[in-house]
Amino acid sequence: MFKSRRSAIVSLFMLVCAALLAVPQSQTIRAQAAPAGSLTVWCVGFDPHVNGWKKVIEGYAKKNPAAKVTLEPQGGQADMLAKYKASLAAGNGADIFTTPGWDVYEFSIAGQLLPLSPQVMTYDDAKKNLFPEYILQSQVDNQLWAMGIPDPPGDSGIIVNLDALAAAGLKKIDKFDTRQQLLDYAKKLSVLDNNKLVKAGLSFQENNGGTYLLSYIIDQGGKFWDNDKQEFNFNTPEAKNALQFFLDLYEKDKVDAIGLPNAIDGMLQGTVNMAFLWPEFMPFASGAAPDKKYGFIMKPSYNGNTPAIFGHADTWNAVIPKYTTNAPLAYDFMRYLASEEGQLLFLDANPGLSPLRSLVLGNDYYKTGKGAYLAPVIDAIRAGRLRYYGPWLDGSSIQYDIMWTTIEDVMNKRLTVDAGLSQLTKLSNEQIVQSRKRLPNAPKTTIYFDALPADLAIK
Amino acid sequence: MSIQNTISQPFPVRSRIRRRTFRNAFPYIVITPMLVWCLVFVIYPVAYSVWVSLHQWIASAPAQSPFVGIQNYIDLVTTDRRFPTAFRNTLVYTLVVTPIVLVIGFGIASLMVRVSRLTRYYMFAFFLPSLVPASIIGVVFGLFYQPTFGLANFLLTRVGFAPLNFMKDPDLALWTVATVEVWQRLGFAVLILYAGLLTLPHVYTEAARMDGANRLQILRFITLPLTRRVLIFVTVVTIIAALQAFDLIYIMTTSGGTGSSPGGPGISTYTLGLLVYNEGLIRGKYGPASATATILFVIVFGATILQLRFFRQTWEY
Repeated sequence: MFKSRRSAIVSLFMLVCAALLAVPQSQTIRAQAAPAGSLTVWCVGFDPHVNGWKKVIEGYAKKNPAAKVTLEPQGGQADMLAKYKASLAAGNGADIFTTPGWDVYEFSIAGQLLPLSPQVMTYDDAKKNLFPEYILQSQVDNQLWAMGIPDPPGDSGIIVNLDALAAAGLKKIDKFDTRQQLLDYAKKLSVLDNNKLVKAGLSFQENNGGTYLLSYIIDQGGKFWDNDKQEFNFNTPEAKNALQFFLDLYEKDKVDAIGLPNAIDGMLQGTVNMAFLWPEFMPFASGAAPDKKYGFIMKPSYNGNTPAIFGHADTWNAVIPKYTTNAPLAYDFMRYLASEEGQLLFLDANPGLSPLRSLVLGNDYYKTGKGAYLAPVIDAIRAGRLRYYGPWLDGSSIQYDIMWTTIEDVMNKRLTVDAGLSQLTKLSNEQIVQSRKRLPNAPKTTIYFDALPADLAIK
Repeated sequence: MSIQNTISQPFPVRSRIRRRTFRNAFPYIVITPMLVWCLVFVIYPVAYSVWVSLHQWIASAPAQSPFVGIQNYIDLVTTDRRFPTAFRNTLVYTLVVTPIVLVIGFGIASLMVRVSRLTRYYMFAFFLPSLVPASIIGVVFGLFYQPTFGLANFLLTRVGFAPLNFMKDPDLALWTVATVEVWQRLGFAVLILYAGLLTLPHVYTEAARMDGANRLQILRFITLPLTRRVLIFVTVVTIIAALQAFDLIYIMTTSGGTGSSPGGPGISTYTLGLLVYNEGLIRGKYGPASATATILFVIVFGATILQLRFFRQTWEY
């Protein structure tokens, strides 16, 4: 084959050199395509999320067997966030964790997260591909800070016990056209014993109830936030109407009683037949109360005859903390989560809205699959009725410690409606001032009351 | 002899000095680990908490946290509507729970001294609630006090009373939790007071009885003064526990929501302990949380010192 020993040696030498050059190159390519190592993911200890993450991790393991991803479910939302904050302060913990949208805003302002753009998705692509709330919550430095996980908008609808519905001779519908229709259902679903309400026909006792209030204010053409002054104002006729409507459920319509269990406990126990409740309750209840069947009905708009306005302020997101020691793998995993394949796996365990527009607006999952129940919500999105409230610093304080406790005070007749709304305005604004002192560089909050900005609008 | 003296004398002297030095240093050597532990895990965290309370604390960048002096304390008192409620609830809760635990505990312990059979069984029965985790007690009593199907309302209606909205009525919720707190704390009080009563010398009560003292007089002039130390101990422990009331309130008032805020309905069952937890651990507002914790520490510390001084026993028997 070789003419001389010399040419053979030269050829062999060249072959070895080529091999030596080729080996590191191929390793680099492999590293870029599928980074190895291990990742830890923390998520809220809530079955639909835990099961969704398990499916995504299993899917990713098939794509990248060199990586080991461990899921560590945490406690409830509040305890989980306490741990995240401690972990971020200490600079040590999980490589990826899930968190509500307002914390994405706060963590990104404090510089505690790695941006996901451009590694997972460029910011421009994110604006085109994701639903607007995931952009609006990422208002720091024009970067995408979080990848959403499937989650239905909290205040889009109402959960109903299907057996109770059938027992009352009522038809399961997809959406309520008017508030009167909703109240008619509520009255028929209310169960009395010796003139005493023993099963609520429609409960409003759930501490995310404040978002329903906000949507009904906008639904009437009202506003609760001044974009210029950066102040809340609930002292408006629209806010009064909205709060009075929820209060009337207890005082005038009597379809619920304060003494009955809250919406979640009541739905699980069978003492509440219908409730203003987030749709994720359904996959949750399939584990907590497997003997009961629940359905989703889209809420009516305040004025009726138009799709209801709703706000997806309560997004759930995956973020990468800055301290992670395996950023390439974390990014790779996030890319998988951001893919249609990853999202569909999560959706199989937690049927909600994916953050991917293409999936929600085009995939069969929302036409004939588990997501079909969200059809009226998707119609409302197409009709331009989706909003986003926030982000505000200390959003959870405003939502739970101020808004819900004040609503409860009104429901318990400790405050009148007017006094409650005044208190809501005062306390929320005091919170905003205090939070600004802590993080003075936080970007301003802009609420798009009338319609989303053109570059984020959904056609 | 002289040689022996010159050689052996210096050694015993040195040895004695060394032994004395060691004997003097020994207590310090023994308490050093505890002292270090106390400095690291008690004194330092308390001091650090006070330091944090004087800042607009940024957990991710403590060095950049602006010093605000006593502003967090002023904000708590002037703008945070939960603080006055929490402060009032904490004091009232303590003032209600402590005497009830003491009186009922002392009564049960006095009765048990007279019981000669099944004493251990009774003691176990009374002490059992103290062994059960508060989380379990909270869940069980949450169901017990459930307004629609709870056992409490079932019993109330059976004897002709109207049912009550125990945990949903803002005026009733705190007192409902207080009854559970009393039930839980009672066993410990009974155990300690029973042990204290057993150690009383019978000669004094016998002498008083021979002098014609009735039961009430014996209780007032003999039994209570002689059990003063035990009573002080139980009082101090119960007061400290009641001032730090948190776990039962947290469990019994947490609704099922995802972002649940304990302390409801509204803010009616907030205590200082709950406010510290909510602000610090849930909401990450370490400045106001530390200010609240410092106030709570001063109250507990002050109350304990006052009690120890007020109930100081100046005599022995």
